Amino acid sequence: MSQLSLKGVSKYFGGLAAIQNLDFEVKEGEIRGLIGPNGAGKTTVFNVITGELSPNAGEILYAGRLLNGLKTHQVAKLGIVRTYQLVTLFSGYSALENILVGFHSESRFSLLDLILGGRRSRATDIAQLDKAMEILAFMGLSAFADAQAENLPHGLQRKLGVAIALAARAKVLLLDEPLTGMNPSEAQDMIETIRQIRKEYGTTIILVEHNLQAVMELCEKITVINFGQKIAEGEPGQIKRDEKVIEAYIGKNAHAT
Amino acid sequence: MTKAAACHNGLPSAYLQKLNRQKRAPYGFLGIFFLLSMVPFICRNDYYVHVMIAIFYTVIYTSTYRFILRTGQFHFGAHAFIGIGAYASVLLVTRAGWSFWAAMPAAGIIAAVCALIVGFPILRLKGIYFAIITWGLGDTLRFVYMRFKNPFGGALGIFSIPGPNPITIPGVGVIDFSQKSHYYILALALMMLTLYVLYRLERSRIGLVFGAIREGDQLARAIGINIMNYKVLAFAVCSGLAAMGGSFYAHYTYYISPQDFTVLLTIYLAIYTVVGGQDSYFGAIVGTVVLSLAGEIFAGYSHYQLIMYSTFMIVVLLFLPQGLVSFPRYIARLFVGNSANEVKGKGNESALT
Repeated sequence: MSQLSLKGVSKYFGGLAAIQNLDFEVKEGEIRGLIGPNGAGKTTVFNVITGELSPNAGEILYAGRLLNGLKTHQVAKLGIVRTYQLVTLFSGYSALENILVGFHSESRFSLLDLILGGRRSRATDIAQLDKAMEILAFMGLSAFADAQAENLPHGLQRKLGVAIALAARAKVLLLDEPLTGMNPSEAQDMIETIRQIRKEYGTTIILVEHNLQAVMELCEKITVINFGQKIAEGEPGQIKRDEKVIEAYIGKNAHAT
Repeated sequence: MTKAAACHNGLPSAYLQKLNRQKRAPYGFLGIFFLLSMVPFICRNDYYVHVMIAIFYTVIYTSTYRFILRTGQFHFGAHAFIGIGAYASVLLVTRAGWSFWAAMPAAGIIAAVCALIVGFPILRLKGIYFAIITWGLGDTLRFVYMRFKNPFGGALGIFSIPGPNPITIPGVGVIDFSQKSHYYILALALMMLTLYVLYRLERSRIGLVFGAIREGDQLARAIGINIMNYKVLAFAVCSGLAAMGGSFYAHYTYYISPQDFTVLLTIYLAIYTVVGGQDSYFGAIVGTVVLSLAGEIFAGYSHYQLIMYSTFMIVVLLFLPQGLVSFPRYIARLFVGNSANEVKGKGNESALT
């Protein structure tokens, strides 16, 4: 039973096909890799799922519900939350405040209560503070709760980006190159964190990443796209040996010789 | 609660301090209210009391204006909603026979509902487009007031508006608005109420979201924040509060005309906000107080009033691009040396918007 599925999705920019007739399905609780050479259309897939771009053709289904035409914030409310290739945070806020913003949808506030700042509103504040600290602890960021996001080292900023998505109650987490710019130990740490997220929260994770070694290590199943089309799909072992994949990455002649 | 207690000794000290400060804030607001409410009983000069009253209702306008500005909308139609508040309240009192005490909040609600209705379509526009359409809205209303003599009194406006109905406050006695000091207390109460609502909108959980939208709207959307709803909310609440200020203005001056609600009013609010410093909650207040007082002081030199006023403004913007509220920091920098990068970073923004 697939949780998220794309059926025949295409997206054109003028005459250029960024994605062409793409089908793929992700099961609940799966860690899926989405790889392909530069410009293959991986980020466009994310943009189409989250409603930042609308597809020219095809259907996107989430738990049996059609996502086409929904706005980004509506898709996010349903539980599909993404991170960005370039670190995107509320940079003037402390790490803790970044997480608290992620809770925004949970505080079903009455405006009056919030404005009066009564006891109930304060109780919510404290409860959210506790929950935010839990998420920070889970991500290993407790020590940086008060640090301003833009002052954190790169690796921690990436982690904070993921933590915000968790706070926003992601059921499907779309990670766009979460390992970019990380040194090997930071990358290993992130891989471990991603595993922990799945284990603890049961989150489905789709991963776009150029660090193929990490993808092979982390994902149960990998989808490879090139020029907007799916060229292979399968377990890491299969993908490594797939001729079309090797061709896409290295080129035909190189393979022949 | 137990876990929160653990946080006390543990890490999120800065945030917890913020929460505690918010908890104490109502007492602060009440304290300031009582302190300021003594002024007319110490200083019995009607002119000074009048200047203070004018400052109070203008602070209501400016602070609400600033909050809308801060949601990223270049608002140019504050006069529209202030006018709606004034006319609605006056008509409710003179035509429908309502008490002022019902008409003032009703005027606020009417303006907020108007803001809600026009907000959804027009808040999609940005920058100059939003400015033009809100300006148009305000001036269209002005022409409506001028054209329809029947309820709105035409170009001459509405005369002899009754003051607020007398009320009895237990322990204080009857307040019948026969003296300036009575109006003073009402204006002060209205201002403190407005400032408290804005304080909560800015510093509470919802303020965190408003700030987040400003920090990065793409990420805000990606985590499910409906930006439009927040903008409309701010627009409606602020317009409603400003309209209550307008209602007070009408019943204080006893006379309103379409000329009171021209775009010039909004331009003044914009100037107060920018000169005071729009990044700071206190900016709008400081800007209004200082420039209103400057206007009164320079009023003695009638020929030079505008020259002095403009020169003052230009000097402030040149040396304090973050507004008057950054003056202490500016002085500190002169003595301590350069931590200039901080000021440079945000200066452009505040000078432009």
